Amino acid sequence: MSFPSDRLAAHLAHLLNTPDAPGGAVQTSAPGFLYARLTNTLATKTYASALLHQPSYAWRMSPEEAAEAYFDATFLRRIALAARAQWSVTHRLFAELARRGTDAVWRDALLNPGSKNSQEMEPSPASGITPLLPASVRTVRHVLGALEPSTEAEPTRPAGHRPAPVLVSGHIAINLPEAISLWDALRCAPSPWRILSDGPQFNGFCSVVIDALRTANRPVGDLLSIGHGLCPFDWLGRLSHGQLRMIRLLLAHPAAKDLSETGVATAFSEYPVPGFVSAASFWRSDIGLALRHVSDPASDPDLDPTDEEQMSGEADHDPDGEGLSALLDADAFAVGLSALVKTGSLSELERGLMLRLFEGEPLDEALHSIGLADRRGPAHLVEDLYRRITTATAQIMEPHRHYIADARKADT
Amino acid sequence: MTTLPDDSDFLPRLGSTARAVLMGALARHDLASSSSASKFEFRLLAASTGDLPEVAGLDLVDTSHRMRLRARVADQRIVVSLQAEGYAALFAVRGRKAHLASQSGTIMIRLGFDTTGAARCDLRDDPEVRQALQHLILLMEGETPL
Repeated sequence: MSFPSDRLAAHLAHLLNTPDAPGGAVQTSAPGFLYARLTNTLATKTYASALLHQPSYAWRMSPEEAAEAYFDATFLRRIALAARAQWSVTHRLFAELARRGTDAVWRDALLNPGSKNSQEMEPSPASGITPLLPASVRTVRHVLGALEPSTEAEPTRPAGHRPAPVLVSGHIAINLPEAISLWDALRCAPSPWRILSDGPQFNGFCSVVIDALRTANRPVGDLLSIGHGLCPFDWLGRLSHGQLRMIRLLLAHPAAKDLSETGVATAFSEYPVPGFVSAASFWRSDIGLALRHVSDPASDPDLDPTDEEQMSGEADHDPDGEGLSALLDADAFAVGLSALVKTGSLSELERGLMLRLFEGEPLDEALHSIGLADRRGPAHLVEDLYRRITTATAQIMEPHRHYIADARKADT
Repeated sequence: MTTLPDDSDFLPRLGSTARAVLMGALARHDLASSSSASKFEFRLLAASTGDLPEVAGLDLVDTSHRMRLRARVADQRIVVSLQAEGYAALFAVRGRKAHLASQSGTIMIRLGFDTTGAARCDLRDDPEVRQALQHLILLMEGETPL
């Protein structure tokens, strides 16, 4: 399956938009239920092979155990604030959930860049303001303050780095921790929260969850993209992003196909892996040994270049923390899809499908309405469509900007 | 008239929009396809009084009337027994593992059903766990056979 973490993120977004009672307008935070549902979902065939790459080590780890390991490595991973970023993707998720809080105090919640004196913005008990704060604000402050300190080594921040952001809503200001995990964001958000309507409202939230999980997934994704049957949970934290990138290139070299010592040496001369002084030292290292002993390229995930970009998390850090997920409105989306039709990346029928889905029509109904089907099932059709659109927007659209301009003229 | 974003923004935003739309639709399809036969929910309505639930003799049926949950106290532990009710539920759970979870996550335990559709687990007996018994879900692991 392609784009597994995006699909899981969308699954999570739906779980976070499920009313307490059918047809209800609010959802109460239920981290226990959420954990059980997420790990159950991860252990199903849909995810166990693609996201966990579990078949290669199934003999020693059940899908349920792999799902729990993945949860720990990903959902609990504290996302550090990037050097130039004002906030992280998980801060954004927290803010999105806060804005959904049913208490009116959260309605205008926005992230503000932190400043050295942001502590002064915080009302303190001594100021006499605290008793006036709504209970939901006190609860959020308490839960955020009770977060366990990170056990991971703090990354070195460059001099002059930005302080952690502040969540501001009206006269309320809440200092956020510098690094929070996706799970922290979900657990600490004010509850209950409003249910979003299908269509653009939900799409925007879904996009934020996708961004957050893409970033959280990066260490596991990096390791999975090596393939060769490596169990990502054996190697977490033992190899750097740079080393993994070079190992990936080395293994893709034709000479290294059989993983022979001479073949690896040839590939190493072109792609020296940082941290290893020679091909021989790489060959004899733990990772070299693991690649030779567990190597099973036949069980590798079915990755294409766009998958790899996603798996390796190249787009992890939104440099300014804002804007990656700012989605198009319906009219602009229609214009963009028309441009994709003109470039041959989409058919007219597929454009029609996309527009129906944009408005929140369920997949089955939308496919039925326009008479589109794939004998391999709707999931295959969606993944194929997604791959083509990703490729088109990322790679081939540049020479076709004039189509956008033409479409814009026609639209106006 | 449509207000379009700047050129520099447009393609990434088109990609992000398509991503959210397609993955959202696919995940919704996944959720709709997963049978409700794999989930059982237990609510203790009397809990609204704020009192801790009385564990001795606790006898609950899930909201779909397919699973019975009984609890008793033994040796300072709360023993929870589950029993599938009816053929459909038995077929859905026999020989399978499941997660028993409370809303807050205080109770989070994996258990296995035998071939008669029965399962058992024991929990520590303290106020936090008793409180958590007010709202439980039982989720079957893996693909549901129904």
